[in-house]
Amino acid sequence: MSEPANEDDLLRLARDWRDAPGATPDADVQARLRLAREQAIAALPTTAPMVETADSAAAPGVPVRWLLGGAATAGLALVLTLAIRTDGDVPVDALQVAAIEEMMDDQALLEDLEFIAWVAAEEFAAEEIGEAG
Amino acid sequence: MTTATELNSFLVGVEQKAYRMALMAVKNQADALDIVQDAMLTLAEKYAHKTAADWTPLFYRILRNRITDTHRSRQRGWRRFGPAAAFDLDGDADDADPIAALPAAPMSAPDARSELDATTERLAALVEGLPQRQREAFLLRAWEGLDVAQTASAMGVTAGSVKTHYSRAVHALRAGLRMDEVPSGHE
Repeated sequence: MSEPANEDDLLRLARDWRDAPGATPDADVQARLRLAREQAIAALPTTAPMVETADSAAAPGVPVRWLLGGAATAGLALVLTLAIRTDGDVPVDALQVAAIEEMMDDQALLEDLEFIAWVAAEEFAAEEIGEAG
Repeated sequence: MTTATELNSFLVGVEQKAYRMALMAVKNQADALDIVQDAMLTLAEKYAHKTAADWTPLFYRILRNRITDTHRSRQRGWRRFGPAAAFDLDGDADDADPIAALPAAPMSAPDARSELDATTERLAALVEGLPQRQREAFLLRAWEGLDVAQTASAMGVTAGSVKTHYSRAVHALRAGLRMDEVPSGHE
């Protein structure tokens, strides 16, 4: 076996691996991926999406109800979410208000906030049950 | 508005790579497929209006979030129901539970790798065994050709962090391939 002489050789080797026929997912997986892709295409919005803002994000039906506590709470929650997601490796500019406002447009992030709230509530409930038991 | 053709072409280009990355992370075929499907749907529903140039880092950011969600979900199972629940789910986050400390499960059956040459096969095993963020940084740069800023955007970390993870990955992979060379007794 020859050792990759440098980073470029290593990257070339990685691309060979990426493109190798033997590394291609099997037919069943490819069929599932094709189906997933078709469903995604079918889910394309037919109208231009509304730009999410702090106000609209808190509207009924959008899963960020608990952000209604105010901008400070939302900002703190966003930073905490980033801290959790990145194991403490929070980008410095994430601590700036402008950057936080931009993140309010990140639907995936907002969904994560709701997820974290749900997990916290679930774990709190579990502890309550454990203490009561 | 984004045309279906544009988005379809993009997804065709990333779907297999995304699946393989997800599979390496969660080590479960069904979970990996669900993750990719969810990432595709989210991109289409929420971010199709973005420019095509934004799609790659966005897609991998969504993919990464879904992988993280899967790890969190498994961690809850581990905490609440013990190892049996985690075994039912075929593993956990690579730094969150003891299963992750075990050698990485093979990405695919040995037969599926028979067409790879020895060096490529060894590289695949080494990449699968990297810590998650090193693996992500390396594959996003090697497979997708993302630059440092794009990789940072996709991973949700700073550019400096990407450089660190990538550098460690390259070092580990080269060291791993070099170590593998010794027992073979040639070259």
